Amino acid sequence: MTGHLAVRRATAWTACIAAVVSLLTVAAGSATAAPVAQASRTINVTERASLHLVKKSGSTIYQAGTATGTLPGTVTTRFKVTTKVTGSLKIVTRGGTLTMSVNGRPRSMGTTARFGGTMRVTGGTGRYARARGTARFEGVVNRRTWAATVTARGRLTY
Amino acid sequence: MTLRGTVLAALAAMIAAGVGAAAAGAASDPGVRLTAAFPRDARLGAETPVAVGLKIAPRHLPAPVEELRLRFPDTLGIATSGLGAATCSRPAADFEKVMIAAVRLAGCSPNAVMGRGTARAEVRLGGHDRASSLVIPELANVTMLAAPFRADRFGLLFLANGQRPFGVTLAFAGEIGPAPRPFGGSLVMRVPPVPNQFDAVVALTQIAFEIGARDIRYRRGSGARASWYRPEGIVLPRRCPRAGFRFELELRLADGRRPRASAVAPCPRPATG
Repeated sequence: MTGHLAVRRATAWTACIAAVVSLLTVAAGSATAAPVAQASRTINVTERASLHLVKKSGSTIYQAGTATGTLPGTVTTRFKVTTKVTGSLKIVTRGGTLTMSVNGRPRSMGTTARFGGTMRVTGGTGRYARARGTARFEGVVNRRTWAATVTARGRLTY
Repeated sequence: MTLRGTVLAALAAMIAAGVGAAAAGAASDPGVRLTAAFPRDARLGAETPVAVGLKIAPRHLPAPVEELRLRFPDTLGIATSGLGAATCSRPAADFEKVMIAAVRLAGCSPNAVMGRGTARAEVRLGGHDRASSLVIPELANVTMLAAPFRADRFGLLFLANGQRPFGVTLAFAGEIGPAPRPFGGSLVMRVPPVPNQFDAVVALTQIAFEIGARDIRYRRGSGARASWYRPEGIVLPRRCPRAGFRFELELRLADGRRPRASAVAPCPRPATG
């Protein structure tokens, strides 16, 4: 009988200790996961991208290159070129990635053609996971090699 | 298969063919015929010329064409081609008087040539009424050239060099502008009436041209170091659009009618390798 009681007491203590430990763990976990308010930051951005042709498919042109300026990194683009220039652009920086939608128009013909328009942040990762912002861009493309340089100026909040 | 089965299968095939034809030419006018095609050796994902042809039956549509609007597929890479490395501008007065004192490219750079073809027109001497006028067919070589970019549109210049019997050069303005979905743009050619001092009406009856024709050559460099190269033609997508490459033509006639026709260019084969 005494043996049975001892076993039952030991089991109860073990259960208690386990419950306390698990409670403490949950409390500690929730303490680290609690949202910490971070002040968002808004900066003026000036970027210059040098792009080269990756491939063309019909009216869609794929380019890649490097960006220098406020957010240096690598750039990949996908533009549909008709009487408008629409598409998306992704910049991979050390702090994270930024994805933008592009809406513009060609502005001239010839071997060296100009284009311009606006771009808007549609997503991001890392430091730019909650980024938002818009920019205006101007570019020049060589229609023989499809190498392009694009300059963008805008504001970014992240 | 039984006789009943054969009859039913034939009926089903006839109905299917009828529905298909009706869908393809739902808004087509019997007086206009449009054709569009790529060469047999064209490949998806590669560059190619595009051949477009238009025929008008003057008995059905006697009024002269004043504007031709060709809507082309969204996936067709006209702006991503190498065509129009230079632009050619003519004085606005040329497009009012239509007939110009020039030959061949009228002083334009060969690097502005985007397409070539032929046209046939009826020259009606003695008035607008086709029945009471003397109708003389005229054949011309047509060159499509890039013109300066204006108001969000790629400018175009069409030169028609008459061959026989009149042999005059006509200049027409045009543009590549936006088009409603599912089209990627519209190629417009404006054909104003020839000034009436000649008491003649020129009515376009046929035009066939190749955008990005393979015999187009552009000049690189100048002087003794100049060389010639073939510009990149229209870039095809790597995948065929559903139901092929659809083109639509809308004409504006002098009597206000707007007949339409459509055509589907069959899909070329995919590129190998």
